[in-house]
Amino acid sequence: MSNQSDQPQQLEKKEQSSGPKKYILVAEDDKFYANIYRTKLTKEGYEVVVVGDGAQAMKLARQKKPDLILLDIVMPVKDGFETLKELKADANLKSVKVIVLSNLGQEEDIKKAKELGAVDYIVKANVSIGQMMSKIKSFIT
Amino acid sequence: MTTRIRLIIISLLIAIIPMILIGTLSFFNSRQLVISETLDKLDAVATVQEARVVEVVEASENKVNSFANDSGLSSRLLSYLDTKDGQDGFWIEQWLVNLSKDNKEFDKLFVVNSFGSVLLSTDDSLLGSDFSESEFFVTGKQEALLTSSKLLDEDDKPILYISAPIIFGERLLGVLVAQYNTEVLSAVTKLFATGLGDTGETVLAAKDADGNAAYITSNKFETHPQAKKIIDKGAYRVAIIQAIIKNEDVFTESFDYRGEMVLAATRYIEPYDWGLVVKIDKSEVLAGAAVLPKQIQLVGALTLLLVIAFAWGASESIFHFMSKPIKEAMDALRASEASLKVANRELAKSQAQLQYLNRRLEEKVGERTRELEATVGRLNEAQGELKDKYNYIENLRVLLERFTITIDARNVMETVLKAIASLTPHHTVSYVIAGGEGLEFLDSIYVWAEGPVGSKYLANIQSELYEYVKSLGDSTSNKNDLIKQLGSRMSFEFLAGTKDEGEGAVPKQSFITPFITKTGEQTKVVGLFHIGDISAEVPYTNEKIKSIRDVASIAAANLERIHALVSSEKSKISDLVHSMSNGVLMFDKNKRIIVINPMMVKMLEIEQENIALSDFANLFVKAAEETEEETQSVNVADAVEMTLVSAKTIHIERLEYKSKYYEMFIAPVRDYERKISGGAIILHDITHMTEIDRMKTEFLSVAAHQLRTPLGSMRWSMEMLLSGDIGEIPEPVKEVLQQTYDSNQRMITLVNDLLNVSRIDQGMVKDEPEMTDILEIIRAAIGEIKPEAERKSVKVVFEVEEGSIPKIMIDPKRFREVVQNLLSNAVKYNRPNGTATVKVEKLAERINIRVADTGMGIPKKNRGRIFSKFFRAENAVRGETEGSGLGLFVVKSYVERWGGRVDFESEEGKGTTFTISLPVNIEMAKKEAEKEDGEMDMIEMPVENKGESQETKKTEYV
Repeated sequence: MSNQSDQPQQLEKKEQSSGPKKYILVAEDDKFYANIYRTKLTKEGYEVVVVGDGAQAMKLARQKKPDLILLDIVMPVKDGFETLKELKADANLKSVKVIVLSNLGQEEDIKKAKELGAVDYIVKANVSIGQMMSKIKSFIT
Repeated sequence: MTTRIRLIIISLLIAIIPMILIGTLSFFNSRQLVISETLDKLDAVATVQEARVVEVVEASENKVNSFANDSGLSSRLLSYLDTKDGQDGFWIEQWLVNLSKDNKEFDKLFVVNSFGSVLLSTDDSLLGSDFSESEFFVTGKQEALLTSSKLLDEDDKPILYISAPIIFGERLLGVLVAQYNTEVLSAVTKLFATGLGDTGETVLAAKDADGNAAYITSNKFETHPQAKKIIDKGAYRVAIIQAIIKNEDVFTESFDYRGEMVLAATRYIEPYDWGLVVKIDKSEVLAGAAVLPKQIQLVGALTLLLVIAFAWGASESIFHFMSKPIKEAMDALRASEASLKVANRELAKSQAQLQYLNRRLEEKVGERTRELEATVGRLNEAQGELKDKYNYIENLRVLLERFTITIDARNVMETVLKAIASLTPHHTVSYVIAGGEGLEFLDSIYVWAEGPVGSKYLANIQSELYEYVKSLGDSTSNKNDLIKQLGSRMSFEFLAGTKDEGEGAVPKQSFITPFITKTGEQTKVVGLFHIGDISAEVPYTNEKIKSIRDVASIAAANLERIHALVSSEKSKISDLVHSMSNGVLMFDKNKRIIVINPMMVKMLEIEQENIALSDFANLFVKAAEETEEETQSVNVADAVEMTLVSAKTIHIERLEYKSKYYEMFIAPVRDYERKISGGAIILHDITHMTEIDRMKTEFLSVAAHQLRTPLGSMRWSMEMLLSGDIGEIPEPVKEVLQQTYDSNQRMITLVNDLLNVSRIDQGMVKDEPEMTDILEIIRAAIGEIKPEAERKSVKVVFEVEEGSIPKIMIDPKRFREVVQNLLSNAVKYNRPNGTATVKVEKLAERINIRVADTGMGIPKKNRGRIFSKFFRAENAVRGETEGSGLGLFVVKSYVERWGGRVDFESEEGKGTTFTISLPVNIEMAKKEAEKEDGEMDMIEMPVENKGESQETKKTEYV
């Protein structure tokens, strides 16, 4: 039921020493999580922008097409589901992979997000940061 | 050595004393047993012997009586007494001699006159003797009876007489006396002696003049030197004296005529004042019982030998084994005591720490839990409301059965029809009953025909009836109703005869007679008869028509009475249905609506007038079309059809109508013969419940989110710290951080478990079975637990016979949770270097999954509660292990829902084994379990969900 076996992982080697940095857009309203994303992803060598709601995420995504979007569900102004719907309806953005990272864990939510086109759904509290990173890496190529 | 000798002596004492006791007891017991058995036997024989003796004597008494009643004797004696004619005397004497020759039991026969003198005798020496004082003479004047003379013969035997009166007309002529030969009785008493061993016998004695006992028959041991023929009345210990003095009993210590000690049963034979004894020598009886003690002695001696041998051997080995280990154990105990004290202190410390952490965490979670429980409580209330609805259905069913009183109307009509048919043989008689309030359902024309009737004829009946009602005068109050009724399509029901496939012919002659009731000026047509005839052989006469009208008027009176009854019944039902808080609609088997209550009208927002069942069903189709999402998959019209055909209650879980949610029950209604006569539709507003359901789901979802968010961000933060992402940290800090991290992880697990439990509690966990290879899941779970097992130095072993386990239909996610929980416990509560074993085996119809550990075990007093929510065994709480106390609850909940069982065996300090027993066919097991639970014969119609983020909830009715 838990992932106690997942220990914090040792510092990994920085990727992407060559070529342009991959751009990850994160929509996350919780400031603690926002900080963690910013710190960790930057450390891993990505270009990271963290916004606090879905509307801003849409705005920024339109300005510059991200390589990957990490999307929270419960957010003010525009929630994750709506944002996801909008992203998938946007001809330019619909090819961008979206990982939903939320603490909502109901099966119905997971099903809905996948139906709307998310490549994965992660319940944040239930995975280690290492696992989260490897998920991100597997979708960013 | 002294101890050894002492041991031997003690062993001997221990062994010998009970043996002596047993020996003595069994000796006395066996004697007692034999004696009591013998007494029972004697008593039974005595009863038989008494009956035999009485039987033989009575037979003799009857003989003497018949001699005395001989008409030859009485007439000759009369003549002899009056005339002293020697011829008569001679005849009588010859007669007596012949009798005594033919009947050996009588030694002597003689006739005594009414004064007591012997007149005639087979023994001349008796002639002239005076017996006027003798008992036999006194009683013989009255009846035929055996008496003893109280005198003894030369052998000291009592002399017995049987005497009977000789009567002519009403005059007593004298007494016929027979001296009885007692040896006849000896034959009887000896008969049963054989079953009683060598010394057993029956003896019979009469009282002599002094009250002593005089043996009547010859006895077995008469040659015995001490045998006495007369026993003194004072010798109470002699059994026969007890018999004579009317003491009927059994005796273990009494004596016989020889002075021998005997076992005896006594009887007193009242009519003759005799005693009877059945006896056997006590010495003979006990000779059999005496064999036993010898056997006991032999066994005793052998046992004694064995005991000595054992004691010798035992003393040697006991000495060796006892002293040394005890000493060692004592030393070890003393030593371990000290180290235990230290360990205990350490434990107490860490325990206090843990408890503090625990409290903090659980306080937070507790708050959320309480909120959750309140929501659940509201939900349960709503579910209770739902259950009540069944009572409504049942009430309706009972009430609707009363509708079937119309069957009585048919009975009346059948009787009437028979009467009319007998008046008009070979004719076809039809009737129709007028419709109107309370009798709408009589929409058929009933036909009574001798043979097949063609469609032409039937059409003719209706048209003639129709013409007839049109021609009725205005004084007929229900003329318009009748026109309407007969103008519509009517069905024909055959009470006799059949419908002809062809057209057939129209009647050559016919007439119609109404049956009517009158109130003042108004007449009301209750019904109409149509009598027709194809052949027209016999024309209708006025008399015939008149008599048919008479019969019809009887029918009218009866029908009117029934009509009134039905109306009142119907108004009762209407009152009830009208006052119901659920929407109710009732229809007959032709799907015509009979009743619709105001609540239904309100729910549907329709005009009450003229709604057809098909319109009603369409309302829901339309409503479904109006809602923008998927259409409702349930067609009400189909469901109605299904109820009428299958006779089952159909339950439609959810229907949306005008933005409210309803559930619908369509129940069959039966008549008194249990035939389906229609149905009832009940509409129940579940909007409120659906709302609660939605709130509950939302609440769970939000609660989970809110709890996980801070915990999750802490987790990631600490992971970054620990992995050095933020910068290297000193080792002591890292240690503390690791502890904090572990606590946090525990909290996350707790939240997840808690949510899981809430979902289980509310039946929200959806079971999604698919063909699953359970071994694959178990192997994966073992793989996951390995790192933790290695950290704890616990070996995980998997035992399964390859290819023996088939795939089964089971929800793989839930099954995985079950295995994970058990495995995690088996590792968590194990000892270092212990083993966790998973073993899977297939039994006949079940698969057993056994998870065994070699850990701390479950204390006995906690065993009843380990499957309770939040419960953790005492030793588990004390230990360093963490846990929420929810794992086993989840395991049990899931497994039992699959129709399986969870058992466990545990020994404290040795380990615990959990066994999950799953049926191979889970779906079938579940269905059977449901069958046992639900008494309702119901079909559940699942409704396609409208794409909302919630589950369709199955409601359970118990």
